[in-house]
Amino acid sequence: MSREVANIYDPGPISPVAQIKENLSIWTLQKWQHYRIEKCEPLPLSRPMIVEAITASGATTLAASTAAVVGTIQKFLVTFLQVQADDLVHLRWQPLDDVEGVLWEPSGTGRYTSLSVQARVSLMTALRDPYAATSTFFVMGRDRDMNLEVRNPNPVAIASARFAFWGYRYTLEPLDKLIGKSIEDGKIASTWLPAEGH
Amino acid sequence: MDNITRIGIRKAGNAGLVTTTAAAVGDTLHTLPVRLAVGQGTRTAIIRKIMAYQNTGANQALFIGTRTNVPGFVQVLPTLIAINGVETIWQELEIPAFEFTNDTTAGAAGRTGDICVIAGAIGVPVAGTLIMIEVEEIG
Repeated sequence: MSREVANIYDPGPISPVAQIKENLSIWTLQKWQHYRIEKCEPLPLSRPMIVEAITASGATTLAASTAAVVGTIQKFLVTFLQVQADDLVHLRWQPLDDVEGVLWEPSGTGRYTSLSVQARVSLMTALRDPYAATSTFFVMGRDRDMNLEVRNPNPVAIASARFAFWGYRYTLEPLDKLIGKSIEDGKIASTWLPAEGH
Repeated sequence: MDNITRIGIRKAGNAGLVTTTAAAVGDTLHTLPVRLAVGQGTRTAIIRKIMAYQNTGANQALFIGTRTNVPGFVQVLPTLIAINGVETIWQELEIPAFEFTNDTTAGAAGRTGDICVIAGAIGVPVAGTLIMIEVEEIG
């Protein structure tokens, strides 16, 4: 049986990457690990899913960016996106204010990177990508959390820096190594996705 | 998505509600973002709406232009008239899509910089016109 490739970055509205009782192969802790989905539930965009980065980071304002200084909120843990071991969250996100989000996952590893730059999620992102598909990311298990850094693209200080998240949470059951080997050999179907940047 | 034309985000001019002064170089309506790294694009801005009101006792001309990177004010849009005692609104269809930029490599000298306004006459500004703009930022 051939491997299935998840259309996890499809440009349409977000949908689950696989169904309950299907297999999921996840790039985490620098290797592919194999699971079965036991449960899945949505995380709708709503007030508890919005972080206000200025207050969450303990700052009072997001400073203006000038030619000399970029107004920045240093990266901080977004606690409401933490999950338990063997839980996976599948998220898209966008700013609600005119600020740019920089994704770190785990905290020392940048996401959305090329050889020399790290892309950000801004209000401009949704102009070309209305369902925020290119913002898709995953948080797998404990202590592999996402950290958010915020940049100000404006030459004036910003009083509010909100980011909204939405998606799905999957409860996973690890598969034994023999099944994992069969998945890697292409004998058993699975959906493959990267949960971390390194 | 089949619309691949340039689009931007709409926002009020970041100077907010401005009351014109007698400053000869004009008053800032919107400060443009600076280019943060060589080789990276920065945002430009197009005025999409202008709202003005004044009650100085006479109609006042409004001159909208730039002043950064040049010695003084440079008018870039046609002169508008704010009628005494009447709120005046110009919307997107009526405003030429002049693109303001702070990237000094992108435009001719004297045509780059923040968006500014002078009321009354260039060289003889008149204070007291309330004005606010809406811009579309691209990039």
